[in-house]
Amino acid sequence: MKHDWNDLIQRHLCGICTQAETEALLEALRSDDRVADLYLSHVNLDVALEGTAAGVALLEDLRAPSSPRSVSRMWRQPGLVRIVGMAACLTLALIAWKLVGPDGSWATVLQTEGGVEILRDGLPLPAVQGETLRSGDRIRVGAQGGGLLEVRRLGRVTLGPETRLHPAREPRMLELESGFIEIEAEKQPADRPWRIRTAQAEAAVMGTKFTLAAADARTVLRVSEGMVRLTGLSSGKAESVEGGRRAFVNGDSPPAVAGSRTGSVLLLTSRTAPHADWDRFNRLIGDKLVGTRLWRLGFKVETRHFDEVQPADLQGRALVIVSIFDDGVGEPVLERLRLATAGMPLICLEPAGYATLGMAGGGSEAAYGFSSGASEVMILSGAHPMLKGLSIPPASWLRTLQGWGCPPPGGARVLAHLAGRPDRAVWFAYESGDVMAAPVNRAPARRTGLFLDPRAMSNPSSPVWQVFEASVDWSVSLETSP
Amino acid sequence: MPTPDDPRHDQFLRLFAESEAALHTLLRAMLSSREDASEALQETAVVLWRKFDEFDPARDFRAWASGIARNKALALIRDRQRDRHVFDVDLANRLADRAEAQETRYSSEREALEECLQKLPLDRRELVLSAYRQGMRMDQLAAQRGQTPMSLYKVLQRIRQTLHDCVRRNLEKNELA
Repeated sequence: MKHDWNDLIQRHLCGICTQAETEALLEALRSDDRVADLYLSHVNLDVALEGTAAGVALLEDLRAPSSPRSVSRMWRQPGLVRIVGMAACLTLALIAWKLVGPDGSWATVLQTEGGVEILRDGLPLPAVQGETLRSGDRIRVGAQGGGLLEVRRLGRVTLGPETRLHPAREPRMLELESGFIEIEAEKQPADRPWRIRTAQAEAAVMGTKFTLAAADARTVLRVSEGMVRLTGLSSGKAESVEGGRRAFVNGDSPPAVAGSRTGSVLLLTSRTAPHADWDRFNRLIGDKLVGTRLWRLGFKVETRHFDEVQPADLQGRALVIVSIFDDGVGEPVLERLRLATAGMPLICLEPAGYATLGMAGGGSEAAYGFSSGASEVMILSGAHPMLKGLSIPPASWLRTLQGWGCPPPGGARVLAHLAGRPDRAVWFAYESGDVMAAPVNRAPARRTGLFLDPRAMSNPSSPVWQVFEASVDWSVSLETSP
Repeated sequence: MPTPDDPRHDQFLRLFAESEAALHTLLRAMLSSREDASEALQETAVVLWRKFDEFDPARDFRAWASGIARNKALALIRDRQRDRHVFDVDLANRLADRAEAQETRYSSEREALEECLQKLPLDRRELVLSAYRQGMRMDQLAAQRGQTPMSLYKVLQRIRQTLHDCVRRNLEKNELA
């Protein structure tokens, strides 16, 4: 007689076999290795299911202190069994929490720097390496802080400054209240991907590497590899964002997707600042304002000082930003790095760097200069993508300290200049391939010269930030300029 | 016997936790009954703890614990020889040998089960885990769900077979990879 061994083994394990069926099974187990192995495999499945069920039950008991069935049962047992039982249940619980998701512990802290706190039961605790984040824990990163988490079944999550992150009530979901995260996700099940929710959008992780930033009523997604499905919460519209693309969700708007270079931003800053004003300016730009703004634009930012940066630091960058430096400090470094001919986009905030980078000079006028006293800046109108969507009234950009460059004729697109001096550009850009000054003949990638007013930058809603963000977005954009 | 304050206490808990699932599979293979296997596992744990002073840390803990677990199971089998569901000593030893030899595979199967459980629809996952809870009786669960025990058994059997097939497929895929 032929038997369905799978069926018979399961019936035997449930104790509902007839005597004849039991005898047939025992005979097969004695003589047939394949049946014996099938039986053992079913036994093992039973054991694993029992273990998982016990772990889930224990977790439910622990979550409901008023009815601690399993725990109290164990504590009534004699000492040794109790200890062993607790150990076994904890092992099972470790297996089980993976199934119940964020209701159990949801992440481990791998690294922290600066101020990183865990809010537990409303109390702030310093986050330390190796700490397990429990259900209900919230992570809070200070303005100068950062960290790295291993989130169960999701992957590694880098935390940027001013980040607030916690698991949502729904399983397999995190809420990014504000700040920046970079995720290197494990491969996710297609029907139940992890999701990250912000105030404006929800990103479904399909197994990928990406950054997500939430600030200023805006969510920014940048995908390096793989694909993320981004849905605007108000519009309900969803977009699949693939590697090499970014998406903005501004307020209630649907996701706006465009091609964008992948990689982090390198911010070059100076430690040498003999002039008091410049020192203040430098710290404002380099250490806080620009860096924070870049994180909020969804970029992982690494800062290097001119006296420490190496050519290898340029690798894998979506963008390099040269912050201000004192004469003689930055130029030799820019030359040593061969930044003028480097193939990634560049924004130079320091007029003294324009000549070294081939962004200004070559004419009878000085390549760059500064003038003090209040002056107006003319923002031009035109079809350049950086000018699209700006809401800055023309001729209203007052400065107390102006840094300007004099790009060669026919090269740069001048977007703003000192009032009455169209040759003195305070905001100008080169498209890849445009004519530049010596030592560069043609722009190897997009180049932008921009001088930022520190007084205006202190105001987070200043129009100056529109100019900066437009410069960054255009620099890394893969869309072609008209 | 070591005391709970003994520094070896933590070591024992760690080693036992690592080997617990393998010991449970071994005992269930030999004893067939879920209740007998649980009882034998608990008694094995007590003996292991009492004898932990004699354990040489250079040795394989699982192999040492398996020997003690086997003896516990065989003692239970001898006590219950008349029960038609209980295996004889030779068959129990044969299954125990095969279970020990293939523990690496079974460990992989236990890990693969987590993923397969995740693939189940939520209601089925909850049902199967409810059925496997300690102390849960099929007739009670069937009554809760308004089913007969036999119809519940059939549903569970299908879920179980789905999980079994999924685990096998996953392992084969991994082996090919």
